[in-house]
Amino acid sequence: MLLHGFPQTHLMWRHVAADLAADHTVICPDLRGYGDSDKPLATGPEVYSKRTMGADVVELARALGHERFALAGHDRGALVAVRTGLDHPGAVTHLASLDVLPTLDMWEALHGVRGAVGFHLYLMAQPPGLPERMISASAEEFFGYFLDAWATEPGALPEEVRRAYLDASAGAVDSIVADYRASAGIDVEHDEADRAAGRRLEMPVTVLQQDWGAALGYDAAALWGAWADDLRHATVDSGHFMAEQDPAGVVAELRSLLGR
Amino acid sequence: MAPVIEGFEYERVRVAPEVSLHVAVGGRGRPWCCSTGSRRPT
Repeated sequence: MLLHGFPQTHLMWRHVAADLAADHTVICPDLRGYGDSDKPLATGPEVYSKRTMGADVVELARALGHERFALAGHDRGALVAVRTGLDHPGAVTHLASLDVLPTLDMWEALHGVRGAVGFHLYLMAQPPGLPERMISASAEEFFGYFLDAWATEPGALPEEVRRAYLDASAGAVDSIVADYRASAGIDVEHDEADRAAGRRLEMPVTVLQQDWGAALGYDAAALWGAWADDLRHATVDSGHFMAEQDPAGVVAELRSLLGR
Repeated sequence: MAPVIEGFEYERVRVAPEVSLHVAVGGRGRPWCCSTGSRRPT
């Protein structure tokens, strides 16, 4: 199961999924609130909590005939994957996280001026109303900014794919903001409860991420090591959209993970 | 028309009373039920 991130859809896995499908069943959903999946009204923080989105993932796998499955996520999808691994250790056999920190660690790492790089996190953490209106008023520029800035190289995303991401995201502003808003509240509470209880990821875990730790002054491998016993942590040179910018490298890491 | 993952099949799967997900599925060995209820590999 492969989970996409922001501001994207399942399409971000097109290269990786095609390779893995040669010898694995591969399931690539649009997360709730994204792409062509349903976007329920955020009547409470739990509607877009990572716990709820993780329950979607388990139910999806079950509906397709898989009680146990390997799970990889990128960006927002990685946060869902980590929560799923913590909540459903009997279902998730292997876990891969691409280019995030666990939610709790992310907020702790972004304090002070370091938080400027994550301005969108703070914007979408605000109460309902203003963030949705601001983003809707400039959806093309807002979402396009991240697609371009995080790719680190011009033209990394084909124009038709970039267009698909922009259209999907412009049609999902309220639910995307609700997803992010949950990560400034209920998701943190869930992480804090797990940390207090000493709950950790029990399955083999691979983490791939850019070297933000060096830029922002934290030890990413150590942070992840607090959550997982069987951990491979690797820093990669490709941009944020590594499944599209270096699909062969991501495939190799995922195949190695599946062999553990 | 939006791009797709080539070779994958698309479907909607209900995962909660109020939510169904848009899903692309591909690869061998997948349990797959057609409209008549029979199973075939993909």
